Amino acid sequence: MKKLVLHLVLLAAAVTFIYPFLWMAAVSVKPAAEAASLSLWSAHPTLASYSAIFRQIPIGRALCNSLVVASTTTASVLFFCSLAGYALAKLRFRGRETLFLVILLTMMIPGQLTLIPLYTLIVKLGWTDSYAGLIAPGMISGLGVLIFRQTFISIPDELMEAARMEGCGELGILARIFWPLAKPAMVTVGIITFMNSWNEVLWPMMVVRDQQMMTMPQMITMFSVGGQAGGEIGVELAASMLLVLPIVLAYSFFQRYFIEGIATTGIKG
Amino acid sequence: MAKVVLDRIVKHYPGNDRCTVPELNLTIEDGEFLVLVGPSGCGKSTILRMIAGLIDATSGRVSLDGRDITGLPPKDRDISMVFQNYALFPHLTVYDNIAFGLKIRGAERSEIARRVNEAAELLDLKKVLDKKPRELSGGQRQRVALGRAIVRQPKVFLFDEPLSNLDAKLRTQMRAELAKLHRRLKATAIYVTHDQSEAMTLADRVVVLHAGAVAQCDTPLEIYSRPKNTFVAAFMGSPAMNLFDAVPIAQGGTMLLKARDLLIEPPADIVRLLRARKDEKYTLGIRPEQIYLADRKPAELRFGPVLDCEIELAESLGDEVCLHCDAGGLRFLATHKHDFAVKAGDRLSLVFAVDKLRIFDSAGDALA
Repeated sequence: MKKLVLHLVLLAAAVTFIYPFLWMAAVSVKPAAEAASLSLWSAHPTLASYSAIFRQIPIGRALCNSLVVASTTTASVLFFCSLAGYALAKLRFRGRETLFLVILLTMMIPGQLTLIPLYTLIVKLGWTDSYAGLIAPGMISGLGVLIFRQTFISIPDELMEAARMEGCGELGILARIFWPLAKPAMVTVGIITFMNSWNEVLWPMMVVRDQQMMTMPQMITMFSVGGQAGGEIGVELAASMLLVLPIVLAYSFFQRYFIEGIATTGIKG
Repeated sequence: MAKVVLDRIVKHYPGNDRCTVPELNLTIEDGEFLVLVGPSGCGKSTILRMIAGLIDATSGRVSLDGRDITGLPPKDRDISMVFQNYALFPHLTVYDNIAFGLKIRGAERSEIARRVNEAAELLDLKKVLDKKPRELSGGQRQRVALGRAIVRQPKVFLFDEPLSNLDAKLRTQMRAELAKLHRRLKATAIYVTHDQSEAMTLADRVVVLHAGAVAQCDTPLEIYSRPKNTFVAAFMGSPAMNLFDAVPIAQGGTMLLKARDLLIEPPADIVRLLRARKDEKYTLGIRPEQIYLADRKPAELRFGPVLDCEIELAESLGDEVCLHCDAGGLRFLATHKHDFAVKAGDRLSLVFAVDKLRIFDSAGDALA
């Protein structure tokens, strides 16, 4: 009985979370006349909202930009954060702990605080309206370094030494031993970074004016808020669906590693 | 040829009061199986790691076949190492673990396959080549670690307590396999252990280490029967050598050594040394198996006076019994074939084989 009640509560919570998402998906395929209804069912499903988006804005280009920016940022974060994490976990050098504390400190500074100086820097470098301007600020993250450091600390030194005896250099050890063994951490950092980069609106709004360089969330925000959608809720939600779909797909594919990574990091940390 | 020379090697970890390895000179001959043995913290693994290149020596020189390898990274030393915890790569199959070094060195695929298969054949790993390390037993894992070490055909093998994680039965089995493997490969091997039975059974020469310094370097038999100092005497052998404080007494033209009520007349050569030295105090050492039942002593040995002992404890080891004896306050261990009934509280008459006694001066060094 107790279990049944618990399951009912959990079910109610799950519905609360999932319903808005399902409703968004449903409205995106409903005709405009049915859009206001709270029902998830449509008697006349249509892809008209989607075709409207593709007609009105260069959403394909934005999707492409978002993919380039999020993928490059993710690859870069995985590479640089794992390098830093490896050094902080396994190499001995003067100031190692202080350096780690400084990196932790960067996580405590709110992003809004560095927004203006960062913008000035990007303008001075002439990187506005370019991939460099979109990608460079997110190429390494304190959280990524922290997760990799904690994961690598738990890998026995003897594996590293064995690899060294067998002829590996430091990069070889990282690529051949540490990356495969830290798969959950790689997936966790990868998904978090990809998601953050994919969802980022504020930064692209600041550094990109050219429509051809806009990312998906930026373009969809401007499309919805800027009035191009003509106040049609179905079109706005279809645009939002296009935005969340890649993240949902990626998450469901890597879910197992993601949860494992978060759990492991929690324990070790 | 693979001769390893350690020339005045010193290791001092920053922040430590004393040197882990004060100054070590050691030559390991080509094809020799050298075992470094000593208690925890005596610096044996540090020495091995300095030879491997995993840690740098504070000063001194390591050379391999006359080539100075002191500053070289591990990969350029042509040395393999087997680790205590096997250090197998958990994400790779047995085949890939063994082939790892060859792949890194860019060997041909066919050459890798040939050598890995050879090693697998030698180590009886053919059937598990596709498995991951977690699917293997302790003994198999150890053999994979050996396979990874031999497949590169290095000049020198280093073993860092490779059998210490195995159970007693498997350890004995693997020990025999290691000995056979060494006879086959005839490669130079340096083996670290704190297990003296491994040291005694595997080594051509044993180096007993004490606080980073060589306490004795000799053949296993010599170390066992003629320890150079009280540290080696007490460390090697199980049960350990009995050691007693003794004072010299001149009596009727000869010299006797007195340990409590026991008066021993040492062999003539020792007497000569005792006369020359004139120390006030000595240490007598005798192995437990050199103490005999008075009524069963062999005729060919010379014995001291009969000691009336109380047995405090009799530990049966199956074929052997270890007796904890007390002869008027002189306490010692004696081992004997367990072919008679004995229990705690019994009284036995025992004698020491005088010719087998080791006598150490007040600094703990053997007289001869």
